[in-house]
Amino acid sequence: MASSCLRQVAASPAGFKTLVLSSTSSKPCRGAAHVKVQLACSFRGSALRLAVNASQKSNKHTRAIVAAEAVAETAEVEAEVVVSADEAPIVEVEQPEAPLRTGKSRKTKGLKNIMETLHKRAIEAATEGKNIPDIRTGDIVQLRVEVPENKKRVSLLRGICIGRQNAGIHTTFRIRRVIAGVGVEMVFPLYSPNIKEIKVIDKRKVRRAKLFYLRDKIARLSSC
Amino acid sequence: MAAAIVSVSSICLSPSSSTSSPAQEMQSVVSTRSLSFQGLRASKALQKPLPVAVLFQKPSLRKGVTISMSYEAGMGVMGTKVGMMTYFTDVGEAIPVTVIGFREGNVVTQVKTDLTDGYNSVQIGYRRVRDRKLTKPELGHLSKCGAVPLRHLQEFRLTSVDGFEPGQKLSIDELFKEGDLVDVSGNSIGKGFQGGIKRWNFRRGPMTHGSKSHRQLGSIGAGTTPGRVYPGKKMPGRMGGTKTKIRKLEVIKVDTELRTLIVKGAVPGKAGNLLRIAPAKIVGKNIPKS
Repeated sequence: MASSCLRQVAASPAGFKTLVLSSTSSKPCRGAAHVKVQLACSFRGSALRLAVNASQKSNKHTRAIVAAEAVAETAEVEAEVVVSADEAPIVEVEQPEAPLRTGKSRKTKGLKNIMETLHKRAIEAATEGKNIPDIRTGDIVQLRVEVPENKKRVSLLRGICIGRQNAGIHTTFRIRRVIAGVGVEMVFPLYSPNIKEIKVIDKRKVRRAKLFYLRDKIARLSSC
Repeated sequence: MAAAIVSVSSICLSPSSSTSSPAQEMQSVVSTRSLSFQGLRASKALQKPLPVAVLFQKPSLRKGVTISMSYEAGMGVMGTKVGMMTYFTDVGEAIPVTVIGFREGNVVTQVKTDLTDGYNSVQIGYRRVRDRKLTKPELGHLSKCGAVPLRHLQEFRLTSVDGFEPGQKLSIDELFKEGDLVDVSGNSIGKGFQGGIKRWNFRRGPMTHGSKSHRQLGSIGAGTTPGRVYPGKKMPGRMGGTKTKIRKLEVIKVDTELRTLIVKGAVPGKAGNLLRIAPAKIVGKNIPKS
């Protein structure tokens, strides 16, 4: 990392350039630290002078900040800097490779966070007025749902949650209940504006994430 | 002798070509052009370049080139498909939407006019890349308008290009509003070599009752007459991976902070795909007459 930073500086046109390199090491070492940096610069009449600032000590690791300046030039400069800080890591930079990047991340680089941000914002906007409890599989829930066609408010629905699918703003949960001898399953988006109220009435101990086995069981287990 | 004829005919043509209408110009140019060309061929001694008057003709007419790019209904931009999500309307409807993000780009790189190129269009660059990714001619073209290295260049042919200058940055909130209809085009997902059922929606044969043809094409033509298969017969082949345009998608939101455009429905390709977004061309409303 250090040398790669310096390499970039060397590639740019001549002149005085200040570089800041930072290296972190998780192994705190005592004594002087040697930062060996090998450069191939093509400046004229400027050589690299490395000045090392005092290192900071954080909780787990120490950091050494190396500031480099191009002063006078030689064909190949090899600089050895001795850090005279109290506790500084011994870092030997051997021109590490740049981290491998797959093609997939490259395509949406710079745009990745958009989806996360949009989902977060949408969820925040949807949960503003309401209090949406944490619904888990096995909870007996009671909903107040508004049907837009009828404009009526009521529509009280009840049932056991047999599954939950997490998908940001379109997180859905399934309610199962036996109504008049018929098993009925309903799927609701958790953040739908049509759901006016959700109440968790009871919890049942379940050992599964999805309770689809209730469809084959007797009606008593799905009625609540 | 032949040389004299050529020069005289082209000189007398020049005043007319600058003032006459395109149709007349076309006719007069074609007729004298052919004469002068024959004259050129006849004389072996004539090795001169084209006369000056010929060079000042419209580029499209000079070479007999026809411009086949179709007009856009308005200025458009290029974008990147980011993903899809759900949008809850005020009514409570959940509609599927596509999020279109914009990388650094959408800079006008060239404005083509009737005089210079024979048609009016605005060329836009998109997606900044490193210098090393572009060739020197490409870099030179971009530096002429002072733009950063951009990978994609696309033209939008318009009826009039007033108000566009090289180096101008286009912003989505000026071009698109909520409720607008847009056409989005991009490369669709490639499906590889596919058969008639998937590619052309053919119906398959019976799976039982002794049938020997389940997913085959069936008949591909008539008998002795015509005695051949018509070109264009729908057959298995490569499907997808081509430019596809989805028309009349509604713009749900224009977010300037995140630099995104949210449209209703789906667009071609996967996340990261290059898209071309232009105002929808609706018959009877805003298709320019060419």
